[in-house]
Amino acid sequence: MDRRLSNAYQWLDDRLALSEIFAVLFDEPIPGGARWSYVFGSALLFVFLLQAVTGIFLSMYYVPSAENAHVTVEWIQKEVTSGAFIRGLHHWGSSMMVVLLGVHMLQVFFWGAYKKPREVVWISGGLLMLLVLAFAFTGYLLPWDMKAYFATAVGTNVASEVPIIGSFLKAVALGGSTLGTITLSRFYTVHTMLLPAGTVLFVVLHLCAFRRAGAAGPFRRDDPRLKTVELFYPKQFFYDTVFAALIFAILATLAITSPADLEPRANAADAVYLPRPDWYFLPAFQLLKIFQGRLAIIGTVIIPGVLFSMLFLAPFLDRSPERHPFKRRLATVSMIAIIGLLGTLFFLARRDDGAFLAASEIERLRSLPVEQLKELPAAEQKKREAAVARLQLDKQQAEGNEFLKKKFEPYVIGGVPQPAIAAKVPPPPAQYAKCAQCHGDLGAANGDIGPDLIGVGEKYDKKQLETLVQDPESFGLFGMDPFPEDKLPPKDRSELIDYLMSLPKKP
Amino acid sequence: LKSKGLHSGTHVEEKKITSQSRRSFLGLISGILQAGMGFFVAIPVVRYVLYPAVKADATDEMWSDVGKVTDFTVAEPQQRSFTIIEHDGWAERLVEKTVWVIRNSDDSTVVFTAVCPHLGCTIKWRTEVKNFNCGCHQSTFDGSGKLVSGPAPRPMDLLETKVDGGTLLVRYQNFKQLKPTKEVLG
Repeated sequence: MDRRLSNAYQWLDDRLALSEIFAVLFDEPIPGGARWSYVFGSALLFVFLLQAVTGIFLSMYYVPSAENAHVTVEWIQKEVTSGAFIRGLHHWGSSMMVVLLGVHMLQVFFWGAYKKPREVVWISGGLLMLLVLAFAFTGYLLPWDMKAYFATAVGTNVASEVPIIGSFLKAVALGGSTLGTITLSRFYTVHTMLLPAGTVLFVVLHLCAFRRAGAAGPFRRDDPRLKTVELFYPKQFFYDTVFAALIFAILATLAITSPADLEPRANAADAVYLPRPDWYFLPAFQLLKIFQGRLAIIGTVIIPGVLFSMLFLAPFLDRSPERHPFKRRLATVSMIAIIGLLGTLFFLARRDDGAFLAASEIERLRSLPVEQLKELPAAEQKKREAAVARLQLDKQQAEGNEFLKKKFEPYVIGGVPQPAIAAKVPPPPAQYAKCAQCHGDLGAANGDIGPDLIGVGEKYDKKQLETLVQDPESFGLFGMDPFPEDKLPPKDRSELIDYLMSLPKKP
Repeated sequence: LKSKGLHSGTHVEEKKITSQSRRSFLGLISGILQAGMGFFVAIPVVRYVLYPAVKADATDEMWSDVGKVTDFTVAEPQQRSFTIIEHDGWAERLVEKTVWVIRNSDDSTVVFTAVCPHLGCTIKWRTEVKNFNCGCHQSTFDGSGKLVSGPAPRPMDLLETKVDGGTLLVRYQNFKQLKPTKEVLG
């Protein structure tokens, strides 16, 4: 058996040069040998593939239109077997991408692995980070629930803060002046077609540049481990696989124990809804709150612009070959300061939402008499605002949870059911059953040859109907057969007219 | 030496070294772990994809109200239309269906679908000649739905009915066309 297998492998190998492919893929030399700390890059690739697989299958039932997006997501979540699990994996996978991306990027930065000759690896990685954030932003809108709608409304307003071309940028993002079905379909195409294509492109560039420059290895030039060089396979391959399995186990557990949330369908008229982005956009969200009005541009353009420029330019600003983080004080301290800044913004955003207030404190602040509010010290007033925000956010959360538990209601195509019309209408005198062939069953034509007869009494009076039946052409009705007196004696005619007048109004 | 015909000699040598080193305990464990993850993704994905195909259709259990039995005249078959709900994944489609109701002198009722068993055109009652006729290919059925002439392969299709408190209820179904016997569609 073993021999046959190896013969089969030999046969394929002769034709496809599998061994060469494996050698290229797996025989990457790792200076200093395999380590657990090298697993994050391949873990990102793993989660990206998992997002691709789950995303492809979500798109099987999802419909990107304002009319149907929410109901299709609800159907996937509540009705389809394993739908909640697959959506849960995709939902938690997006957060996992951001976490792993942060760890991977910080590690490369602190290890000094962005330096010459790895500039292209670093820059392509930075572009991949922007793509991941774009994935997160565009994906957020797709369920078309309250959270999706209002968070995207805030997000696209940020674009309009850009000087000169701001309103144009916003119109391009929305596909018009309002957030609607065109916005949804373009976000969908960006999320499922353009961003994946761009990501694959830059992953290939990232990996090619990485393999070309080689792994950086330990940052200490005199590290004793550097004497050995190990190949990627089998040890690092094993480490990467075990870590991927751990990530998968975490995601699967989260998908089962805390399902992805889904709030009620977007209602643009809701004036009290408090939009909040997902956790990884909270620092940016807080910047918008800090810099308002004329200063808004600082939070939306200048600070993010400076941070990303510094990130991309890092290999050119920091040119010394030294890689030890303690010997690159400026770089290390700057990065720690940036992390501290993001962490502080995150903390402030949570504090403004009353995340750290005790239940009793919230109750005390809420029940303060209205006439006292103006006299409260500023700090206390801010605290009260936080308590009010917290109550609203908790309410939204509760409404979302309740919606998730509610039984699925299918979307009805083709309007309102009208099974009762036939029952409400008295049957016609037997000899006129034939009228139904053109005018429909009991006067409800529903697109048959003739028009509806129900409601005809509102359009014509008795006298007019008498003339109409005898000479429809005088009313411009050329399709209907005339019923002159020889075909329909006056007695029968008045019976027919009485019947027509007795028909109910149109619903 | 056999493989030399396809590749240059140097490759054969390299292959020996690499294919030897591929056999590794860690590699085996990695393969098992990866296959395990593949399994845990594939099972839900297959169930997810198959869901609409294997789900029981609830449409069959729907009874439609066609009116009071006493509202139908005994003299002639009468046409009734009502909307039924067809389940279609996340949507429900309201579809109008037409039936012919025959009330017998003993108040028993018979309901036929108006869909011709030949090619699915709509069957009409012709008062003048007292028969059912399909305008498309002139299949003609008598007052009890029996085929009199024309290309239809079987009589008009009877629908299941019941009377509840004097109201006639019908369970609407679609049947396959062109079959000599009535077969429920779907």
